Formats: sequence, structure tokens, C-alpha cells
Amino acid sequence: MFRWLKHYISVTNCFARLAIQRQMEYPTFLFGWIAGNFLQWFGGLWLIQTIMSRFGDLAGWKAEQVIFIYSLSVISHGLVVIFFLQTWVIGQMIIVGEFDRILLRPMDSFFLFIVRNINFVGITDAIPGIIIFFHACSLVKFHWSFVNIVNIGLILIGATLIRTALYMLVGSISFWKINRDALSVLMMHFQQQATSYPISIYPYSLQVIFTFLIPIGFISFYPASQFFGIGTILDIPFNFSFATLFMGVIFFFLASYVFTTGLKKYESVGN
Amino acid sequence: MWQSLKAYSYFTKIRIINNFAYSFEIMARFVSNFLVLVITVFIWKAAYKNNVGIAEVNQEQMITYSIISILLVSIYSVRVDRIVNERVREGFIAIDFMRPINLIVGWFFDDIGTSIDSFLLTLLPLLIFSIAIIKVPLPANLTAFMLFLASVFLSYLILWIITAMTSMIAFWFIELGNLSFVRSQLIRILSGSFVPLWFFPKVVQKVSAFLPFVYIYQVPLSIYIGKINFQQALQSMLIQVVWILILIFLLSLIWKKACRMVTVQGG
Repeated sequence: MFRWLKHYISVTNCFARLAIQRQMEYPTFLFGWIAGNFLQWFGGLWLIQTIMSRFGDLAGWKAEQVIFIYSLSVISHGLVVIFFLQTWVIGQMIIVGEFDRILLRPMDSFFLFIVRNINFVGITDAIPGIIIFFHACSLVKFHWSFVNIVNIGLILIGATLIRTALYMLVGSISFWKINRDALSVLMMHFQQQATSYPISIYPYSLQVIFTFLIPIGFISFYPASQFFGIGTILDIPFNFSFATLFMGVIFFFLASYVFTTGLKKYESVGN
Repeated sequence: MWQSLKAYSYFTKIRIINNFAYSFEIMARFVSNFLVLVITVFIWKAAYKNNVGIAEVNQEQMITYSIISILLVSIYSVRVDRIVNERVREGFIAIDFMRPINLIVGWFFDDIGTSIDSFLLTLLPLLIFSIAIIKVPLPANLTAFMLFLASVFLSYLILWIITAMTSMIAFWFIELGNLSFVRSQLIRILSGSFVPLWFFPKVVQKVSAFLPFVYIYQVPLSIYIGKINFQQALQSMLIQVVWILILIFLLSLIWKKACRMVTVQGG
């Protein structure tokens, strides 16, 4: 058991090292991503501040609270880009026959798929997110107790798992219908827009969908609502950071099940 | 003249036919645009609920603005950056240079093909769904609508030339994917496609009046909702024309340089 675990960890390390070395080969490439991503996330912050300063609040949420929501959204997006970017390109991997290689290896295919890439460039997404997060924390006078720090950790893990699960679910469609990951791009735009603002701006029916069916409410909105004590449609007796983690784990398992089912159905393209 | 136009229109025709092979992608684009539209509309509705007295535009105008903005996003599908990037990286550019045509004009007609497809398969469904679910996005009046159409044509040209210019840099640096990303982020923030610049501080408005970005989205949209009057509209369109002339000049300079710089890997 221990040797088995050690073997899997060493494979993970090896993949990570290879991925980072591969990306360091083109330094100008990294520079472009820094410029683009900083522009994207600080620009987004600027847009939110502009709207909020002109209109006051949004469904009872103050500017700094919306910025807090936004920062959780950006950090978890960054974590997905670092660790699970491959879940966005399942369709492309099928077209080029990448899964043939994975299936031939003497290890669990889902594991190999999940650890196959560490996208080091993703820190250019995560760093603006972290900066905005600390900015928001000072605005809302966030209480840095041990419990709250643990809560933030659990929320970010859960949020990353929820996001990844949604990418895997739409990406796995490629096993049944060949396509070029157009849905992943759709999913990215949707997650980015929908998790940056409180979901209480939507009608009741949409809020229910964003809570149970496509649980993006748990990525940023519900955890933030608990920190600020703002009421929502969902009234659960326990901590929302556990709820986020719980939803993340449930949806991740669901998505991995769909993925493995799809992989069984997978027939290599070409010959 | 007629002969060469016929030659270039083949670019358009082939692109239209090619795009139809990817109907799934086009459907996904429609859904994506529609979701973003719904989210944007609810953000504005929630913002206007506070009733803080927004002098610039009322809620109805702002929602019309958002709907038309998304419709423009859907047909402004400029792909010249991707085409140039691919031609250079794969080395096809060497063969392209041998063709007896102006490559830039050819790529322009190629993108017109994508826009025609997007009009039929993305814009029209978006419009129908918007009317059914949100509201009928009526223009301020008929004159405004006619001016809007002319202004859209000009703003498409501005967007296309800016995109083509940034993609030319592919001739210097083989990997440019992320430079296009920087450009598209600048456009997202400074063009007023989501948050119009009249909500920003005065300084930002003054500076952006001297940048080409507002002339891509905000100007035609302001004309459409009647935010600016007839005279201001003509004035803005004149500035659009000036920008097009400046950008064409810059593009031809960069293109001449780029043609000499082109390196083909493994060739």
C-alpha cells in the first residue's frame, strides 16, 4: 500500500517537473500572460468598482463585499488553471489521440489524466486574485482568526473542485460527440461572469439552479454571505466552507465517474 | 476591379462553407453569448433598483445597450490573428506570398465570411431569444438606426485593423497567442462593451476619447439608444473615419516591414 502510494506520488512529481521545464522554455510567452492576466483581473476589479460607485449597492451587497466575492472567484479560477487546465482540452486530446497513450500505461487512467500537467503559467491568474483578496480583506476588516483562515482554505479547495468538475462534465461530452472544446470556453466565460457578482441578483429559479444543479453559488457567493452575515435563499445549519468543500467533492466524484464512463466508450480516432 | 473583387469573394465563400462544418461550435457560441447577456441584464437591473438617479441613461436604454452590445460581439468575430499565427507557425505563409493577391485584403474577406455565418447562426437566434425573454431592443428612432448601421461598419473596420496589426507581430515573435489576449482585454475594458465609459471618472473619459477603443463599441451603441444626438453622431463617425485612415497607414507600414522580416521555420 505504502509503496503503491509512493509510486503514484513520484509519478506526480515527475509530471510536474516536466511541465514546468517545458513552460520555462519560452520566457516571452510568460511575459504576455502576465500583462494579459493582470489587465484582465485588475480591469475587472475596476469595472466592478465603477458600477458600484455609481449605483451604490447590488442586491444589498456593498462594493467591498462584491470585491471580496470577486477575489474568491479569481483565486479559485487561478488554481484551476494551475492544476487542472487539461480538463478544458479533453476534446482536443481525443482528436490528437492523446488518450491512446494514457490508456497504454500501467496506472489508473483518471489519475494520469489529472496529474498530467502543472500549468505553471496559471500563477499569473492566481497572483492578481490574491492581491485583490487582501485588498478586499482590508476593506471589509476581515477577522484573521485561525478558524477563518482554515475556512478560506476549505473554500478555495472546494471552489477549485467545483469548477474543475464542471469543466470535466462538459469536456466529457467529447467522448460521445467529437468537438473542439467550444463548451469549455463557454464554461469559462459563464463561470467568470456568474461568480463575480452575488447570485441574489437573479430571479429565484435561477438562484436554485446555481445552487443545486450548477453549484457555482458555492464558489464565492455563499461563503462570502456567511462572512458578512447576509441572508440567502439557502439556510443551512452548518458552516458554508464545509458546504463548499462537500459540494466540490460530490461534484468532483460525479464528474470523474462520467469521465471514466466516457473513457470506456472512447474509441481511438483514425486507425 | 470587378475581376479582383470576384477573386477575393472566394475567400468569403470558402470560409462560410468551412464554418458550417463546425455547427456545434457555433451553437456553443450562441449559448455562451446568451448566458453572458442574461447575467449582464440582471446586473444592470439590480444596479438600477437602488434608484439613485442616473442622469446619463435610464434602465431601459441600458438594457437595450447591453443586448445590442452582445449582438455586435457575436458578429465581430475577427479571426485574422489566429489565421496569421497559424500561417506563420506552420510555414504556409511562404506559399501565401507567392499568390498574386494582396494577402491582407484576402484575410479581410475571409473574416467577412465568418461574420456572415455569425449573423445567421448567432446574431439572429440571440435577437429572437432576447425579444422573447428580455425585451424588444428598439432603437431611439429611424435616423439613429441608419446612422448606427453606418457606424457599425466603421467600427468593424477599426477592430479588424487593430487585430491585424497586433497579429503582424507574429512575424517577429513566432508565438503571439497571448499578445492577442492583451489586446482583447484592453478592448473589453476600454471599449464600453460592458460598462459604458460615461460611468467612469471624467479623466478616464477624456483620455479614452483619444484612444481608438471607444469607437469600436460605445459610439455605435450610443447612437442606437439615442444617448448622443444627430450632430454628435456625425462628429463621432468622422473621428471613426480618421482613426481608420491612421490605422490603415500604420498597418501598411508594419506590413511592409513584416514582409521583409518573415522567417519560415525549417524552410
